[in-house]
Amino acid sequence: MLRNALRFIPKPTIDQDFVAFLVTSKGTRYAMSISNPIKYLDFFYRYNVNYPSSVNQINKWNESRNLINPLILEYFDRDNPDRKINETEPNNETTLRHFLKFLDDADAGVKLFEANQDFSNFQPLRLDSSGFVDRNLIPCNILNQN
Amino acid sequence: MKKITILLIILLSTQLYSQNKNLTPFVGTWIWQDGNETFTVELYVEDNSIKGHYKLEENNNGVLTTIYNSNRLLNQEHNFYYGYAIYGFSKNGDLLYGHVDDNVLYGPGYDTKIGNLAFTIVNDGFDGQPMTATWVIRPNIGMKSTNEPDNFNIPTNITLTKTN
Repeated sequence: MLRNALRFIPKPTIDQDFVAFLVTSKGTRYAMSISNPIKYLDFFYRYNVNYPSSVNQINKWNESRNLINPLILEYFDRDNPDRKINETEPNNETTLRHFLKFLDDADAGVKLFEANQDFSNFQPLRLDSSGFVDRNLIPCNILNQN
Repeated sequence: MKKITILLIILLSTQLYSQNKNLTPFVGTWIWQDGNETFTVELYVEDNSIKGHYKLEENNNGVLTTIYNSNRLLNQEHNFYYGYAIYGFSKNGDLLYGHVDDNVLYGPGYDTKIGNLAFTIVNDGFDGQPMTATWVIRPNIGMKSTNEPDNFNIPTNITLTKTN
């Protein structure tokens, strides 16, 4: 989803105002914001630039690819029997913990929020030091999360 | 202290060996022939994962023409090639799971379509016959942009034979 955002949305508009909303098939509602556009664009650089034109761009292209590939395998690959994000996982909280860990590992400048039914309230989510979901951050304006 | 260090080295070596042992069967050249066309997959181990390239060639009365090659030149000035278009891992030596960049024949608007690869060894060669493996590519799960092509250009369901 995040990778495809680069294809859907013109790159100049990928900034801290960008928010993606998600309703899962299980009815849970989330929002993701880009808290650090530079990290975000660097992480997905390989999908952002087809033909790197300078040594700097080539290095960023390779770094992006080498960072993304193992994470995709570990978390999302549909043929990996031990993938951490698995649609057959019955426990939403387990999937949420894994996804937050993915966001930490990726360090792609993305924040995740849990939304209420009408998307009027957003609870910032993060992992605590024990690896559990911390919902104690103060909800605030989703567009001003840094 | 010396004994502990030696033990640690042995344990680490054993772990590395067991990880690489599952990747070894995939390493090499695999081909699929269809008439006068040959689809070739080259796999190698790097950074404890399998990486690789693929290409399609046509043989017309002994004249070999490359139709596409995943390791294509991206920047002539810096002699920068695409590099690996196949990336995967195996936990059992039978199934290599990962993804493939279908980076050939697309126009500048949509450069690469990424697919999930399941590369499964179906004949390990112990019966004296050549090793064979199925190559199955499926679309990624999740959102797709509207300009992404529906289909892959590269073969998506074939059986490859290992040649070396």
